[in-house]
Formats: sequence, structure tokens, C-alpha cells
Amino acid sequence: MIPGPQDQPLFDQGDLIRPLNEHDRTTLVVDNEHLIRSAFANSPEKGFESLFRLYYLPLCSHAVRFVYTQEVAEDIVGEVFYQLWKTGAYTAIQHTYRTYLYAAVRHRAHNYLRDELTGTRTVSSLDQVDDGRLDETPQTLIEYDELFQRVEKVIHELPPQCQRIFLMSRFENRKNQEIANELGLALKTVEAHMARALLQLRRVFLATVSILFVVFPGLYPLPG
Amino acid sequence: MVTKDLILKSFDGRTTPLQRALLVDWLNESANVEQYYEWLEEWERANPQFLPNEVLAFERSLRQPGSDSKPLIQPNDRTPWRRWLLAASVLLALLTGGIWLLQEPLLYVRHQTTFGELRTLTLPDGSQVTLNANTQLRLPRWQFGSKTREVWLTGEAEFSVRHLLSNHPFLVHTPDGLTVRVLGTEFVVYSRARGSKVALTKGSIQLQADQHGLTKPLTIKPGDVVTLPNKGRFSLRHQQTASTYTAWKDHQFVFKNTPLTDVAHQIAEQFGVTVDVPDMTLAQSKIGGTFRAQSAPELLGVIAQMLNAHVNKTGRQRYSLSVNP
Repeated sequence: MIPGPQDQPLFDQGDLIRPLNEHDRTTLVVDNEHLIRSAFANSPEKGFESLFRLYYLPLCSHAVRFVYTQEVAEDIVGEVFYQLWKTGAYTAIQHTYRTYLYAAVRHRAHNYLRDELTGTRTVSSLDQVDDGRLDETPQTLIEYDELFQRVEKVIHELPPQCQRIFLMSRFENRKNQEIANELGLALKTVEAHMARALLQLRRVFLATVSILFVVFPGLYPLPG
Repeated sequence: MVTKDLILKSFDGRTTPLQRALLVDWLNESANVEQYYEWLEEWERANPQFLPNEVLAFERSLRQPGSDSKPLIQPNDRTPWRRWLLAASVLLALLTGGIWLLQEPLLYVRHQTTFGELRTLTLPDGSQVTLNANTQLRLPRWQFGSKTREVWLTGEAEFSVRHLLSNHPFLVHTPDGLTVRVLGTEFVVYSRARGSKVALTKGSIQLQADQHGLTKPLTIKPGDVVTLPNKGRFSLRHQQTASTYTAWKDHQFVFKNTPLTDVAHQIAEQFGVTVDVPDMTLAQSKIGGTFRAQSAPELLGVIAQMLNAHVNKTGRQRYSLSVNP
């Protein structure tokens, strides 16, 4: 049908053109979950490779927010993928791979930080996690968010020199002696800065952990 | 209300304790947990902390050291091994046989809008693209944003490109050999049968198009519009009104002394209909103004009124404009 005369053209409004109306926009996030699923159905190897390539980067980026060491972040994510493959858990994913992977990485990153800051790390402590049986409550999810935010805040609030040394040591994985040489400082000074940064982190972590202990006393078996 | 905005704010640590209590409530619904992780993923992709080399990492993961030093991917015992071999040979046959059929959909994602449809996409690197009607955008399915940021466009789209820490350039290719190279900015690319056109609204971009005499990269500034006609050399105009080139996002058509034949072309591209103007004098009349229309008859009706003409529907997707008697 041809519209009636009431539809007048908007003559030469030039720059008055309205901005994009938010409600007209249909945002579509490119989502590859179903493709991964069909890839797994065809060939587990291909499926696994696709899964790895799709999620490896964002997972590492997420893990490093907790542990602040690139290498450790990559190890944690690598271990999650390894367990997923070795145990054949990929055949029994309940919801989405995304949910499984993020939950597992966050859980492991949290455990790593806990063990490091409380000095309870054992060689096998990471292998004992069953990524598929994480029963996380809404409370835990929010607390994980708060944990990485606190870590970021602590690092952000360190004195400049201390922050610099901490990032060189952890994020870039440099040796204390190397840092001392580069910054022209005594090794002892570098060590003192590191100790100070770790002490701050430990305080913040213990503050968070105590909440977790109250809510889930069974989740965190104490050593010994 | 728990909105995406609230969740993204909570990842940034910008929520109040009350809002966090609200979130805990919301997360009690298991479907919302999925949603939560989906948005976490989106947030993480938009705010990467570092870019590990995932190609190396994948190769490493194939040889995981540790309790058992077996390669990560290998068959475990004999019976499944034969099944794997069979599966592998079938897969190989499928792959070699249908390589041309499979290669494209496996390696690329396609986004296609129909006539009259506009769609805004968020790419995995956080860049936004608004596709105009009858437009196709193709991008690599894997590693977009880390390895490559290349897209292929047929039609018309506005890009709002996110600048990445890694300084990875964003490349837009069109079928006629035009390449737009950009780091982070906003611009419109048009590429249809009649030729190509690039309009820049923010930042700076580089163009290269061997077939149009642009053999060296040309850097353009905001307000510049480069036109690359189907046959022939490019032309560059400065200080154009950017909104003219982005009006389509609002279902608007901006005509400035535009011949009716050209208007008919644009209607054909946008709505997939043919418009005939048998009267030569009418065909040469010029049109000015901004029009808002979501269908061909709507726009044609208004134009006909201006020109003291009328519209006849002459086929399923065909209209004819003729002068009022």
C-alpha cells in the first residue's frame, strides 16, 4: 500500500538526524557453543581443538586477574583443558562448555592463590580438583568476582616502586636479582618490596577467605 | 532489575552491597548462571589482560608433562583405536571430498541481512558493526581479534572498531579489491554492484585499491569520503557531512539534488525491488531531502507526491513511477 499524505518527508534536517535508537538495535554476540558441540560430535579431537582455540585466551586473561602471573594463569587454564580431555568430561557437560571452563578456571585460580598466600601448596593440590563437580552457589560466584577485584585494588594501591617490582616479578616472571640489577637496587630491597606486596595480598585474601569458610566450611579442607 | 549493564558493572567492581545481594538472588536461577558466564566471557574478551600465544599453548597441551607423559590427544586402547581409524578415514574422505564445501563455513562466519533489515553485531574483539539491508559480512570463525582482524563486506556497513592493546589492525575487504586498514575508529563502507564508497566519521584510516588507481595506501581524515566507481579512478571529497553516510542506520535516506534514476537504484539496493521510470523528463528530475522509510512503497509514495507523480505496482517486486495526468 502507498501511504497517505500524512506521511510528510523530513526536509533537509541535515545534522538533526537522530542518533541510532538503542531499542532498534538487536545486538548479537557471536556464539560458537553449538558449533563446538557439533565439532565434538564429529570428532572429539577437532572439537577439543576448537574449544581450546576459542576459550584459551579469555580464560587465561581471567585467571591472571587472580594469580597475577602469566605463566601460572596459562598453567591453570592448560590443566583445566587437560583434565577435561583426560577424564572424558567433555562428553558429560551439563550446560555450556563456557560455564564449565570458567567455573573450573576460577575455582583453580582461587585455590592457587589460597595455597600460595597461606603457604599450603602441595605438588598434587591442583590435580585433586574435580572440575566437573563444582557446586558453586551464587554467593561463591560473587565472592570470586570480589576476590579478583580486591587483588587488583591491592596491586593498584601499592606504592609505585613496590607495584613496579611486584609486576616485574609476578606478571613478567623475572627473578629478584634481575629486577635488582635493572632498577639499580639492592637484592634485599627488592625482596622487601615483594614481601610487602605479598603481605598486603595475604591480608586481603584472608579477609575474603574467612567469609568463604563461614559459608562453606567443608569446601576448604585444612592441611594437617 | 538485574540487567546486563549491572552485571558488567559488577565485574568492574562498581556495584553497591545492595546490588550484590540482588545479584546473588538472581544467580539462584540456574539459567541466569549461564547468562552470567556468557557476560563474563564478553567482558573478559573486551578487557583482555594479556595475550598468550595459544598456538604454542595448544601444541604444549598435546604433550602435557606430568603423571603420564602420553600425548594429550591419542587413542587409549585397541578397540577404540580401530574405531578411531575408521572415523578418521571417514573424516578424511569427507574433508578431501567436500573441502570446498566445508572449508568456507568452517573457517568463516557469515552475517547476512535481507532487504529492509538492519542489524548490529558485536564482533569477538569488541568492535561493533551495523549492517545495512542486503549486506553480507564474513569474518574468520577462529582467532578473530587475536591472530587476525579481517572482514569481507558486500553491501554497506558502519564499523566502530575497538583499538586493541596489541595494535592489531582491522582490515575490511570488498569484492572489488578495496582494503580499508584501521586501528580504532568509526567509518562506513559501501560496496555494491555500482562501486564502493568509504566515509570516515572518527579517527583515521588507510585505503588501498589497486583496481581504482589507489596502489599506495591513502590515509583519510574525518569528514572525507572516497568514492570508487565500478570502472575508473577513485575520487576524494573533504568535509562531507558524516550523518549523510550513516543516515541509513536510522532507516533514513538523504538525497541532495539526487537524480530520480539514482534514487531508484538506492531503493533497489535497499529493498530489492525494481523501480521503472518510463518518462525521461521525470527520470531526470532531482530530489533533495531526508526521508524516513522502512519499505519501498512508503518511500516511493512520498517521492511521487513531491514530483506530482503516482506509483503503480507493476509486479511482485516492481513499481513504476509516472507523471500525474
